[in-house]
Amino acid sequence: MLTLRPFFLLVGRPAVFTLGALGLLFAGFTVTGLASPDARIAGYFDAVLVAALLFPGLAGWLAGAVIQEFQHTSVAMLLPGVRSRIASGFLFTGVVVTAVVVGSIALKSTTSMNLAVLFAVGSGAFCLGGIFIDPLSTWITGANTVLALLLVGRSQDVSELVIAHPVLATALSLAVGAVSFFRLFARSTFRRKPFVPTSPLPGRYSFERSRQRERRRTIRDRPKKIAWHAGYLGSDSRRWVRAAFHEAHGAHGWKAFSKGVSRAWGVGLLVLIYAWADRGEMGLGEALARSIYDALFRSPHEPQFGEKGGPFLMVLIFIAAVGAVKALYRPIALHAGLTYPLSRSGRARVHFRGGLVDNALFLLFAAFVYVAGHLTGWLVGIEPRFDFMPYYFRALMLTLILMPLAYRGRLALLAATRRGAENTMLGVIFGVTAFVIAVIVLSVISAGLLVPPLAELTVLIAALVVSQWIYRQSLTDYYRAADLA
Amino acid sequence: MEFVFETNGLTKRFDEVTALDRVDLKIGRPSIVGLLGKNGSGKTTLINHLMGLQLPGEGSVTTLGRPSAELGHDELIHIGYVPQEIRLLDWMTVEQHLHYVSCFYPKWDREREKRLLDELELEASKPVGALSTGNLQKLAVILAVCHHPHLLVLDEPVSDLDPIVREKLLAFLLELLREDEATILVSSHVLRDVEKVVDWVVCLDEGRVVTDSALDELKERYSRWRVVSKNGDLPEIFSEPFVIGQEVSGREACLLVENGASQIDAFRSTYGAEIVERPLNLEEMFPVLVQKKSSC
Amino acid sequence: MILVVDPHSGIPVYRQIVEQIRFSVASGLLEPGEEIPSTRALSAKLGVNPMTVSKAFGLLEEDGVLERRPGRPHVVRRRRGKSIHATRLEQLEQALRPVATKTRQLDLEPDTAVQIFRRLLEDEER
Repeated sequence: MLTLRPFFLLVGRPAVFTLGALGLLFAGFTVTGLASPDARIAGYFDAVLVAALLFPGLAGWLAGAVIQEFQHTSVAMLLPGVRSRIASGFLFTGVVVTAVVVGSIALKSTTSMNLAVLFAVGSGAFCLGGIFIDPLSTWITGANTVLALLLVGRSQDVSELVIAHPVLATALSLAVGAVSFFRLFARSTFRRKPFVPTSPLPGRYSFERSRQRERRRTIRDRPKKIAWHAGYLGSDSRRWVRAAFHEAHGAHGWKAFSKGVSRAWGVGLLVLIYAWADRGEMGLGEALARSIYDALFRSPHEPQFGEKGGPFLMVLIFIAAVGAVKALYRPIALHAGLTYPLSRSGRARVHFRGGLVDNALFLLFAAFVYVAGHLTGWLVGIEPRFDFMPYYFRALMLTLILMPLAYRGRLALLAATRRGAENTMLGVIFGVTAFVIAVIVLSVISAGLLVPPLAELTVLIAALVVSQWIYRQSLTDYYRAADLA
Repeated sequence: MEFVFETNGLTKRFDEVTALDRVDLKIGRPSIVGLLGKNGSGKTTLINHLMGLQLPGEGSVTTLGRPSAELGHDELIHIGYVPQEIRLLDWMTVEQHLHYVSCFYPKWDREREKRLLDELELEASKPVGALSTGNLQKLAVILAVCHHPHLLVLDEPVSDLDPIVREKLLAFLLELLREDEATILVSSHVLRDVEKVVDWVVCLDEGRVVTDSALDELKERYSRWRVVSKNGDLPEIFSEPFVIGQEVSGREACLLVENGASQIDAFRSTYGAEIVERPLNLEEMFPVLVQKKSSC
Repeated sequence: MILVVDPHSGIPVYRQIVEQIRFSVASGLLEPGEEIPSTRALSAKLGVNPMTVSKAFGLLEEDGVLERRPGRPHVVRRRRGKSIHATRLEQLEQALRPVATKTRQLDLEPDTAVQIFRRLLEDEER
């Protein structure tokens, strides 16, 4: 038991438990969703296999992240016997988690897959999860992501293969597991990591590489001439919002913006190609595309709208997440530690107006998605629909109504960070999750109210106005009495 | 207005910790004030209150004639602040950042900006994100002085600078005092630097003001006596009230003395001893100022 | 006039300035009527707080060593021969005081000390 202690001492932290809980939630949600899916896409997913992959995989990711964080400290490689001690803890966790998952599967479902094979698959997934995001080389992370998507997206086909060739499946899983394990615990890994400042675990070392890379990229990609011609700003909060916008987005310029847009279009194109290539009654791509199209553009007031589930939730989660990430990660606000010559009420005004500009940008983005969605549908061959109050609109409005929560959450996050809270990134992740859940709850509540579309429009707009007013008051109160440093 | 910065009974608590405890301070007229104290003594908290970034739990804070919670545009354009933790916009170059910040103020002295960039050897075209901590400090100082502030606050401004640059920076602070008649508050652990330029010293210890005097007065207040007895051993302990620290060994003793100038002759005759007096510099005085502990 | 101050010596800077100027005047390095650099110029040159310099000048004025002229830098005051001599004696006594203490600590007779002192002066002259 003594050799297991080092690993469990590393793991026993609130951040790990929070992430573990979130991961459990996410995995449980996905598996439940896939177990009772939309009739159209039911045939493609095997919930059992996904469960056997996802739960151990996420646990492996978390355990691996803790280990990698440890590897980044300057003392890790000098401690005697550290590799074997931590490795035994890692393996012990993997065995226990996989056993629990396989046991639950045995109890709860009927599947023709051999439990021993499932155990091997789960263990392989656990070890692979450990180096899923490998900070030392990006291609491994990319390859892992593609592999994961394939396994989940084609899980029915994969599970058929597993049933047909159990020995091969076991051997393959164990091989993948072994390779991952040895890569994670290689002596050379321990040697190199302290000099590469990065870790996949959110926290004090959080996403350092991505942050460094982003920093390098923004320095490299920023426009040659930064467009800032304001002159003396005075005390007018409208002009200060321009400054806030400049601080949040001044680095981006048209080059970076077009890069972002072309990347989004590139991904969209890939999705389109997949949808188009996988057409026909049995095509997953087209089935998914149809489900999402319906979720976006069909109005909940239409008589045939009975189906709830996956695609609608996906759309809602996507919209809410985009809004929350923008609000929590890079809102339009005065960021730097400069002495802004603004009174506290002036700051409150700038903060509020910045939020309004953010909402406008969000709507712009939403309009873009609306157009792109129709285009995609047309290309795949779906009949276009232009319902009056599509579900998409409701999702947007619900997000906007609750957006002030995200902004206030960010102020709380900033205050906590100043007081020394370790995990800013964790705070953002937690905040986004909490926001998404809030939006889902609100949508569930409001879905129960069967109101005619015009009334829904009125209620939503009124709610939006009220929420902004409350936000404004809350901001003024906050800035009047809070510590800003 | 009379004072540039004034606090009355300022108290601030963070959960269980009392960061500032009934602080009464008045700082006025053109002057350079050194704010000293051990780590965690409340210096940065006091500075945050001065700037209106934190609000008092009890008591009041007035800066440039206004309560710090109401500091507005008209006061803040006359204040310059170099914080201990410097957070700037990484993606801008030094030049662009200076240009951006220059828009905050009605008057921005481009000549001074150019001169300082040159003297402090800071490259204008380098991105701020790529600057070392020393260069960041230099930039933070330039950002805080080009608008000719009446009040300049510096929190650990020189910790990462090499001695040559520190020298230049201190010379510049004196120039600010002379030319702009600014009031400057410097909080620093590098006492040798502080000693060169300040005329007033405020010491904090555990949130309380333990010293609030002119530097010259402090230097005259404390001194070290080398005592050698002419006949026989000295007493093991000296209980005179002006002896605040002592080390006695047979016929010799080393005493730390407060306001002892008037007592020296009486002491000499009482103990029949020779005394050699030696003054203390700020670094030697510091442990005494904050802890009233002896250090011979 | 060359002044050297040590901000780290523990002796207040204004006192160092006062003593050095007093000594320069007493020893003739500074002639009566000679102009002293202005407060600003001197504080810039020495790299010290200008208030320190004005404090020093104020004290020297009080002691009658310097004379203030409105709008212009201070000058060395013209004094009578007797008071110059008195100042010189004062300077010497100040310098000799620690030597006297040491003599007592070393338990030597005053005459012995005076002999050594005389010899040192004569050596220098040669």
